[in-house]
Amino acid sequence: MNFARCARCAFAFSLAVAAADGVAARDDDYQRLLDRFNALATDPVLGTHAPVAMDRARLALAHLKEARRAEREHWIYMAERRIDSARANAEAEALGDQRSTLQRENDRLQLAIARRDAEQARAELERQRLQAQIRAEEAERARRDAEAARAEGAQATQAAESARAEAEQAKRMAAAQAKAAALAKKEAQLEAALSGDGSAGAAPPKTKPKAKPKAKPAAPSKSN
Amino acid sequence: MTPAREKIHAWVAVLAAALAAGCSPTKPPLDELDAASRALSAARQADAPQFAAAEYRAAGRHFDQAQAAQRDKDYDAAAQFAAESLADSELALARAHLAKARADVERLTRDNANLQGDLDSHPAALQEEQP
Repeated sequence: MNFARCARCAFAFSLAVAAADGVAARDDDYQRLLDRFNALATDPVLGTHAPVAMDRARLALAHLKEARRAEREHWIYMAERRIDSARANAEAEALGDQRSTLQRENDRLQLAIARRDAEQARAELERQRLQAQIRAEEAERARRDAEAARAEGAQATQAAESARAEAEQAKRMAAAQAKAAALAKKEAQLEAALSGDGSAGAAPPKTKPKAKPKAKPAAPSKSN
Repeated sequence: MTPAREKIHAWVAVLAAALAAGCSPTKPPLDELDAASRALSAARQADAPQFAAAEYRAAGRHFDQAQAAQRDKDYDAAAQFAAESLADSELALARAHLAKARADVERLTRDNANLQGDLDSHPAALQEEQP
């Protein structure tokens, strides 16, 4: 009888010890996960992100704390997953904020580069416009020079033509004068010859017989 | 067996049956399985097999186990596996988003450095060429 009572007491004690171990193990898992969650929730950067995922992790921890023995493994797994999800979501949100900042910076830089390129294009256009203007002015100057040269050439040609005409005229005049002089000389010679003959024979100078007057025209015809 | 003991045993049996009936689900966890299935699809569409392969595989494995438990009419286990699959899928989705956000941040950081270098090295190249 005493042995049976002792055995029952020992069995009850071992059950109590096992239960205490179980509770201790349960507390260890719960405490480990709670520490992980608290580290995340109190993180200065991540703690303010992913509130929904944080709440789910908190709820999973609460379930784990109250879980029966049969459900403990399940809730340990769930709590671990929920805490990992909360951390991943919080990190993704924090990176999303960083990405937004970087994207704004990227937009600003692209705008600055676009402005610079536009400014360079405008400057290049202005440079080409100036070059075109210089080329046009040079062409106009060359055209005016050519025009002036052409005009000078025409004047020279005209002057040469005039000089040639004057020379021709002078030559003709000289020829006429020479001819007149020759005729005058011949006339003088003839007169001299005639005057020599007159004094010798007093013959009247031989004159050209006058042409007979033309016959009187017939009665004027009626003009039409 | 005395009548008193018979009565006690009968009450214990009734109590055990009531506990068993109260603790186990009486119907298949269809909503949980549906939610797990949708979460798995969402994770797949978010490229979780590429960016969070281990979590995605765990989600698929737990979903298969949930379906098997449901076929065996072990609805309690089916609900637990479905919940674990859902948690796995959501973790895979979050890690896929995280990987993409990290890649974006790295790309933008690199791009911005190049753009800034371009601006620094050629602030106004044409103006320098002009007399």
